[in-house]
Amino acid sequence: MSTKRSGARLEFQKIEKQFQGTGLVIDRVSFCVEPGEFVTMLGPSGCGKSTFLKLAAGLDRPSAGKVDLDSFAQANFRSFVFQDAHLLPWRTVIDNIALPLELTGITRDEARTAAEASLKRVHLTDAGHKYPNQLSGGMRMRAAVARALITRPTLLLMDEPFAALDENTRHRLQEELRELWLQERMTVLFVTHSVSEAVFLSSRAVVLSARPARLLLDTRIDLAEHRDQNLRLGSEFSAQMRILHDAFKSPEASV
Amino acid sequence: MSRLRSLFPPLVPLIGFVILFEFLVRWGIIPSYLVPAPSEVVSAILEIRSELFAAAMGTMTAAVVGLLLSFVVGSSFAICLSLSEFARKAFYPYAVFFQTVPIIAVAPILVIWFGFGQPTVIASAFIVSIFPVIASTLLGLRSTDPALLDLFKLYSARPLQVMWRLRLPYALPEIFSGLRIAAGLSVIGAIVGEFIGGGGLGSLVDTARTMQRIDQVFAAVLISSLIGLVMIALINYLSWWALKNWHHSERGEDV
Amino acid sequence: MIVRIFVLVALICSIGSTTFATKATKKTIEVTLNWKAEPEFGGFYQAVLGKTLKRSWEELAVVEGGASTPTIQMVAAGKIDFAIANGDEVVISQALGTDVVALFATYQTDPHGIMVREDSGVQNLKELLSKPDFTIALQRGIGSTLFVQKKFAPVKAKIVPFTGGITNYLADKKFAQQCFVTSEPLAAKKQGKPARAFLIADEGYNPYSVVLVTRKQVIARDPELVKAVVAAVRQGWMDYLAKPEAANKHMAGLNKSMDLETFNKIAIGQKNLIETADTKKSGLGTMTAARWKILVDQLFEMKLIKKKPDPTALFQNL
Repeated sequence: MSTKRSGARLEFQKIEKQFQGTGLVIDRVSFCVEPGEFVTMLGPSGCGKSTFLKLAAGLDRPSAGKVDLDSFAQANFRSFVFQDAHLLPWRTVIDNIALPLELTGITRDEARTAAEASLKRVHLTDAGHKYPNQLSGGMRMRAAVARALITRPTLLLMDEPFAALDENTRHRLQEELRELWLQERMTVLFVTHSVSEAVFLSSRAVVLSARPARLLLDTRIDLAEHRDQNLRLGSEFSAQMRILHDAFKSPEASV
Repeated sequence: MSRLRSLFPPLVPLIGFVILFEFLVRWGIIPSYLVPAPSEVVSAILEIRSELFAAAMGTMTAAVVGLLLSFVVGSSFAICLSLSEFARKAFYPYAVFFQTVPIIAVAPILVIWFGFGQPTVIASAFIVSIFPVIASTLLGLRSTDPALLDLFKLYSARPLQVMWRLRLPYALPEIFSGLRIAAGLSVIGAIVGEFIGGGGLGSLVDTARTMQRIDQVFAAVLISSLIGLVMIALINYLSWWALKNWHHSERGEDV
Repeated sequence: MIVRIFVLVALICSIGSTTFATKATKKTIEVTLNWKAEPEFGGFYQAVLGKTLKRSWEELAVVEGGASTPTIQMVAAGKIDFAIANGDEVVISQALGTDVVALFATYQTDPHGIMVREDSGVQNLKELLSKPDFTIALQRGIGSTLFVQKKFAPVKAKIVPFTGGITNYLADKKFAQQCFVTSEPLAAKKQGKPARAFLIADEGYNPYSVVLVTRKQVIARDPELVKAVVAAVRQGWMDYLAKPEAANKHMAGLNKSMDLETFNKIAIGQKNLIETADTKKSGLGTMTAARWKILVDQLFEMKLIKKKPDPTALFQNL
């Protein structure tokens, strides 16, 4: 058994974020994501959830407070999946997936070999030589996930990645993502506005209020480890959803 | 077959126009020393076909070289400007100067600097065609999808990698669009340069005009338009080859 | 209310004054030049200044041209009635089927020439055209250029387009160019680079030059007007030849590229190209069919025309 930690530890300490023009977006929020946790972040649109991801990604800095990351000194430990897959349209799927490795200096052939493996894990083996415009939305998202996984990240950041997909594809990808996480056990911070998605995917859910964002609820999702579609029909599922819903719909949520 | 069929609609007004003009001049309604009948233009082409061909080759060579220079210098300049906001603000206004300078007034000065013959003609073609290249390349480079820029930032890509693997491919459709405009302009620039510097179709037009041979003037003008068309067709082909896999403009989605 | 009265009064005044103005001004008969104001057009400017047009309702005006003003085609197309062109242009135009006709020939001897730097050592045209290291700027497609190239074939010197001015000539002693022998050599001497000028007429090509042209249709429409215009031009030239100063001053104001002193020098130098023993007998600016015939034959031989117009139809001595 490898003793290498597979997940980064992420802590937001009293984060404040101001934007020019929009004003205060995040109002003194603190929470911690333990290594290997799958945390979903819920909240109304525009409340600043994506900003948390950007702070965690190092693409932005807080106006006050600190983002503490313990990555166990692994280079390129973070990956990001956007809502729109954002693949490079002029590259084939396999080359898109290989991109992060190419950027670190690995040769194209080596990178491609690794990309083939990543392709397999997202069930896209036949689509390797196609171009993004030839794929459906769901396949593009799978490719984006494969790209995110190729660097074996210890922190996976996802910004409403399945929001633009149809329900069937969404449910399938949620299942696949959960299985991948169970295999890799990297830390995942997943932003969504769908309560059922949050309950299905995560081990812990954080609910934010409307702008300026405050922490409303931080709760464990106590459900089975391996989850499938049938789970959604069960009463435990509804109960968990209710808890999150109430936090969402509370008067504080939209103040 | 459908490609040939799409040629048919534009041919209809052309054929109608040619027939109409032939009759107008034959019946003396329009005197032939003002506007030659289409048949006279054709016979003029045949009459001076060897000089026309030699002249056309000269003009086309100068136009192509001028365009190549515009592409190399113009896109390099645009790339440099795109790297620094200050540089862009400082130098771009001077690039506009190339667009507005009246080439027909500048050409005699070009002769003093470059002498008679091809160097002046090429210089003239260059000056006239460089601005569209700069403008479109710069626009393309500055329009990169911000999410993709974030992606590259996340993977700690070096500026050279960002330019080569992201910004330049992203800018290609815009660059080709600028090249198309520049191609037509380079022919005009070459001919203006030839008025003063000698050689090519410009010289032929000037001589024919002095000899009051309007039919030869029209013949030369027709051939010069053909050169422009050939050059644009070439660029269209390159554009198709480069963009066919991924850009909607070459995939025939919106025409 | 006051504003309305004011506007009404202003309206009436302006209408009244325009009617009065139209009655007071005459119709302008324009003569369009094929270059800028220079002594070669001195007589035309003098005709305007001296009001030599003996007509009650018309007065003469001169319109300057530029580098490529297509005067002969503008006349042929009916855009203008009177213009200046070169004799060979008239022949070519008629050969193409127009009814352009010559009325007055300013230069009996065509002043077109080729000039080369005195310090180049070249002695004559034949020598100049045989030197491969020399460049000669000539206007393409005109009779004088083709004639010279034909007479002194094979031409080893490099022929390049001529676009006016003497900049290249001043900069390079192996640079020759076409000129009016009466003017550019003077400017060259003034700039310290004296020229040796060769008259193309001396080589055998001598069309009438700076010719007043119109269309036969214009003559048919109002023959008295055309006669009066020719008479006015003739008088203008006679006055200019006698006393060019006033017209020169006027032209120097229009064309700043030469100073008044040069204008005056050119005016003196060009006299014997304009006034000859023949013109003293038959009148300034008159032409002969014999000379037109020579020109027609020459142009036909140079393949500038495909058929030969009747020489007597090319001109009218009104």
